[in-house]
Amino acid sequence: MHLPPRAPGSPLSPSEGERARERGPFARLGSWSQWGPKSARTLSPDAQAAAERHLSECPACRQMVERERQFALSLTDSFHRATASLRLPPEVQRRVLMTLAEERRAPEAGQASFFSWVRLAWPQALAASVLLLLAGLFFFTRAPVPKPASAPPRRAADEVLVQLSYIVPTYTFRHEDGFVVDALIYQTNVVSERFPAELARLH
Amino acid sequence: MDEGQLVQGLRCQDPLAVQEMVASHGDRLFRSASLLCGNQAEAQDLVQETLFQAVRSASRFRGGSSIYTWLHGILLNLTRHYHRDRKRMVYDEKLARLEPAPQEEHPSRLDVELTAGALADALARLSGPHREVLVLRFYEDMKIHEIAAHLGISKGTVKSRLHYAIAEMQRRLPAEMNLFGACGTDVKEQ
Repeated sequence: MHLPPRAPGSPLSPSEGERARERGPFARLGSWSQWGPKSARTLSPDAQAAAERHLSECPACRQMVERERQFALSLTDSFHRATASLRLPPEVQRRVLMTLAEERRAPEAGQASFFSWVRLAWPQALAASVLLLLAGLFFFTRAPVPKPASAPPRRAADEVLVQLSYIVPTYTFRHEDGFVVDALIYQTNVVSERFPAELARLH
Repeated sequence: MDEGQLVQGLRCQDPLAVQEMVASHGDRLFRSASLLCGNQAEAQDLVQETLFQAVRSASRFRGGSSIYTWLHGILLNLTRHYHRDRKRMVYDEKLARLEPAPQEEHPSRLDVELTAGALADALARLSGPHREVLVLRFYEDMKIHEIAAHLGISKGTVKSRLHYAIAEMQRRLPAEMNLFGACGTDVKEQ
């Protein structure tokens, strides 16, 4: 299997795409080779033997694996070169220490204010207790107020049933064939109500 | 001060222990954060927050890993939040127009600045999970199982992410950087 050189970033040609598909199953094994001998042991012995057998027989795959290995080594080197000059600014340490010191002070302040509140709360609580005690004594020791005598139940004989009826005239208008037709309707309403007998006698 | 004493000092919020932690791990964390988020100012803030959280949560550190690995775990969590928040940011076209245009650089320059810029650019185009495994593997020099444990994913997932990330980096990095060793990108028949 021959792998022609390809500039990074350039798209795969159709033939390259086919080759990439062909080496697809091996690509996963190929990536194993760059992790180094120790972590390569994570492959099962059968898979490792198969990969090594294939590598010994296929120069293209061997080159691909070597290329990945080289790239991985270069990547490590590049990461270290790119970050070698970076130093954590000293103000970070200063800010961490300052914030921790502030946090230590804050709970102390919180504790102090709590205790001062407790100190002030004692006399207030005592005064409130005395007030409650006095109020309790006042309500429980005074003479009970006699309840007003309840009215005797009203008997049916003391009541008079009054029935009223009245007539409600309703005047309506409607359109019929271009004429306005009016009609007067009388509706009788009946109302029944019970009144105390003495009230009925007054009337 | 050994790691046990350092953790003990951090639990007591001892300023000396904090200074020791910054002196021992600050630069390395800052470099890793710069690679993970691609922005030095943000990296500085992320490291600062990492150090804060480390001191605050030192009592919960059981010593199951090295202090640096523990710190890096905090940094990774914070970086993920950072990327999540960035996704939520609304892109303002007016502000974007006010931003200065990127300076054109000569393609044949092979100095460190160009390498760092191209590397940062290629890294920035990777997704967060792919960037994480790449940085952990090739900058932090972690092994596959260590990365899997650190990120809480399977070894297979680590491998597949690494494979994709490397392929993307190979595709995006300029050939002028000569990252492929003395033979460049050419594949020669043996």
